[in-house]
Amino acid sequence: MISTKTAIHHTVECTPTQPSLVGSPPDLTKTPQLSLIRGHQTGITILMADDDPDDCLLAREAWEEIKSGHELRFVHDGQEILDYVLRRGLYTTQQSAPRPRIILLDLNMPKKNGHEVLGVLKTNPELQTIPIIVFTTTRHIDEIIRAYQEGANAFMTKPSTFEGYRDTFRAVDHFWLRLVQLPNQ
Amino acid sequence: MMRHSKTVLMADDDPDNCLLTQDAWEESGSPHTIRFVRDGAELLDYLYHRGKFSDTDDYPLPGMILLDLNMPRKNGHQALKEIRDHDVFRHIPVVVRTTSIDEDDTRRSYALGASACLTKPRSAQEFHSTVGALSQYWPGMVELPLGNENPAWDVSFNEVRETL
Repeated sequence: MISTKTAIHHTVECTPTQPSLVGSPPDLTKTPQLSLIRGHQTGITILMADDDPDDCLLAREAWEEIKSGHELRFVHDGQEILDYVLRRGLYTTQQSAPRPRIILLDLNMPKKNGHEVLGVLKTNPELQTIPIIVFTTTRHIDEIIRAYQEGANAFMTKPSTFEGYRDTFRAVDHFWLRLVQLPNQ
Repeated sequence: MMRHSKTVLMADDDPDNCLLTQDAWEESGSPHTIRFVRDGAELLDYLYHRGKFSDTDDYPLPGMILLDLNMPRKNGHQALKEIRDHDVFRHIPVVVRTTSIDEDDTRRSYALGASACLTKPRSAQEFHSTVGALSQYWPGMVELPLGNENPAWDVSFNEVRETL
C-alpha cells in the first residue's frame, strides 16, 4: 500500500529498450499493422491526477504491465496538478515536471476539483492544447456534458480492477500514443 | 450487450474518403451509425437542422463529429470554431482528420477545441486499420455527451465490481 504523501513521485520507469512496435492491444487487434503505419511517439510523459492511493497503485501497476515505453507520473489533487503544469511549488524545474503530452484527470479531488482544473488549463494559451482525458468514476450525463463544455478532450469511466485499468490503458496507448497526432511541446 | 446506437457525423468533401470510411466503419462492427456531409457549411446546416436537415428525428444531433480540415465553402477550422462557440454544440467531441502533417495546423486545431487530430489514411488498408481503431475507441470506450444509454463497457465493470 502506498501512502498519499510518499507516493507523490512514484513515477513509473518503463524500460527504454522496450520495442515500441509490439504489443498491440488484444481488444484492438483488428489492426495489427497499425503501429507500423504510424510512427510510435517516444519519450512522452502522461500525467495522472487522482487523489485515491489505491487507484494510483492500480494505475501504476497496469501501466507497467502494458509496457507502452512512456512515462506515467502522478499528482494527487487539483492544486498539485496546477503547480506541476504551471511550474510552481515543488515543480519548478523541467526535470521535476516534464511537460505532459496527455493528462488523465479525476473530477473529484480535494483542494481544486477536476472542473476547476479544466477551467484553468483550457483557458491558458500555453496549456490549452494538451489533451485532457477526464478519467473518473462518475458517468452521470450532466457531468459528462459539463466536462466536455469545459474543454475535456475525452471522457472515460475509471475502472476499479487491475484488468480494467490494463484494458483502458491499452486503449489509451493505442489511440492517443500511436494513432493521434499530439501537439508539439 | 451492445451499446445503444449513436450517430457519428463525418464532414468530408471527398466522396472516396467517405466511401472508404463507411466501408471500414461497417466492417469494424461498430453499433454506431456513421453519416456524411460534404463540407463545413453542410455540417452546420445539419447541426442547426436547416434546409433538408430540418427533421430532427431523421437527423439526430451526432454523439461525435469527424472533421476534414480542407473543405470548400467552410473549412474545418471555421466549422470547428463555430461549433465551439455555440452553446448547444460545443460539447460534441470533434476528431479532426487532415492530410496535412503541418504542426501549426495540428496546434491550431487543438487550440480551437479539437478533441483529437488524426492523419488521414492514405490507402485502403490504412482506412481499415485507422477507422477500425477509431470506432473502437470513440465511441466504443469514451463516454459521449449525447444520449444516456448504458455502455457495455461500464456494465462489464459493474459486473466485475459486484464480484469483489
